[in-house]
Amino acid sequence: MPRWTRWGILMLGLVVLGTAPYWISNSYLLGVLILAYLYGVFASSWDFMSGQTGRENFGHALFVGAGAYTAAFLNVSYGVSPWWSLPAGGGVAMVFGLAIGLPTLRLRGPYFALATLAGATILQRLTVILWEQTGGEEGLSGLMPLVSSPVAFYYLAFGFMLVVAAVLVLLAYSRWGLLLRSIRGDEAAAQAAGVNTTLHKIGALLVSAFFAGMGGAFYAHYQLQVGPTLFSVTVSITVIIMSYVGGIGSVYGALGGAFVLTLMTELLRSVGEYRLLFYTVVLIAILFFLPRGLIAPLWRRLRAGGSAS
Amino acid sequence: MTALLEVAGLRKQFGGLTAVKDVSFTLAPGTVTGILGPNGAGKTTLFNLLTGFIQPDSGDIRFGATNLRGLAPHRVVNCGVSRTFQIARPFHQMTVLENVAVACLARRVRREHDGRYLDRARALLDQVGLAPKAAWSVDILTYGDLRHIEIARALATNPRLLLLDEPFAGLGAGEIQPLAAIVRKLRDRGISILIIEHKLREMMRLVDRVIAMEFGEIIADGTPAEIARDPRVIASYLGSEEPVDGAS
Repeated sequence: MPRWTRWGILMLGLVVLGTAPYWISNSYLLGVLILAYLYGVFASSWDFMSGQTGRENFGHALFVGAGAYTAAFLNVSYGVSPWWSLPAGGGVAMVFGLAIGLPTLRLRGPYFALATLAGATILQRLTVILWEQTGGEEGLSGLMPLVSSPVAFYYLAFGFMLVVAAVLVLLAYSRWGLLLRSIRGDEAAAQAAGVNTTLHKIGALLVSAFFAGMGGAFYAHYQLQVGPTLFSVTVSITVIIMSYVGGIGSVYGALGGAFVLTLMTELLRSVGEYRLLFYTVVLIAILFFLPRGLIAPLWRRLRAGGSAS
Repeated sequence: MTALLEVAGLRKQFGGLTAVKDVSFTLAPGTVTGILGPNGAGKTTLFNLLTGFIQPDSGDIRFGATNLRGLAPHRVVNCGVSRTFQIARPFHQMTVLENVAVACLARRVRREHDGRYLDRARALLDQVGLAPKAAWSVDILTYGDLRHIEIARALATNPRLLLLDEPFAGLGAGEIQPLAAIVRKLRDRGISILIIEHKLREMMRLVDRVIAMEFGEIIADGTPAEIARDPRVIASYLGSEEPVDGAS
């Protein structure tokens, strides 16, 4: 296969997705694609930090939910324009990222993973306890859409995903990405090579939290409501599984993983709540048979011109 | 001549065990010094103390005008002290070139290569003979190659003092000589070297001076010939003679 094959495939995919509103009349199907884009943002932002530095974040929903609730508070409670939700959601998520990362990322051991898991769970509880402000189990509704036309919203989500993906991929394949991956490779050796590993881990977490929070705010203005399930373990685990399916540490693989799994979920609507069980089985199968994931190795194989890499 | 490294009263205790007990020594610039001692003598702990991986309970580590005590490992590197590890620690899932390139991004050398850090990494791989394998994944390399990567990575930060923790461990007979030649070349370039090694023959040929340790203390300090004759060193390595009729 010639070297340009994979770029051809990518271009074809972008053209197909870019023209989707013209040949998909079913607005439900467009909605599924929008969901895939937003999960692509969640998964690739997770992978940027955890995939590259090897420090697993088990509570990415914390950042997604923080962004979404920030959007709801600003827009519903204070009447702020929905466009402010995106930077504000990202900013608030960064504050949470700093609060968790500063004390735990300087330590070895499972503290960071546990703190993220606990952080998401605590916030989910708080939304119920502080029901007067957060609407409790029912959450907050009545958010304004970012744009009113569904087609325009589709393109907005598509563009948002593309911009976030481009920024994260560029960062991941810059010198900074090299330093981050050296931390996953061997943290002590990275220190011995002059890398301030704590600083870079916290920096990567802040970038990850920012884009997840922005994605959460975007999601809130898509669903026009927010609820405590945004903080749920289901969201966190789904994001992790998407990254693993895509191929950990590649960032673009996570986008592909999000796409495949979101579309698959729609095919599996009939099984309802057993979805997570299915996801888990998929994850175990991937870890067993394709430990490097599905999407990223496929992409690399295309680069190698069809020969095994 | 002013000392390059001046260690004074260095002490580290782990629970009830004093791993390094009031160790003091100085290193002159441009010398190769060996650290000798049986397992558990505190050699690696001493390395970890010097490079900031472990903080000492007391004592000072003067390197030129700076006191390295209390500095984090990446800061020690940026002062000009690099190390290798006893068991090679490559950056897994990265290429050979990337492994060395990471260290070329250290603050200490960032200005020297003017953004061309990959060129610098390639030049270093050339020095240790790994240039043909630059694009390989480190996870498929032999142990000997990993040792060379460790050295290239340590050199990337342009150290004035290089600490080698058992560089010959696990190497075959044919792999030792090329590595020893690289170490000699480094000394000729003016890099001071502190080396822990169990392969006595190789080390004795390489070093100007030997510091012998036992139970966290320095028991002898001198030229290789002096150390080889020192009764305490012989006793600690080969065991002291037991009376024939002694109990057990």
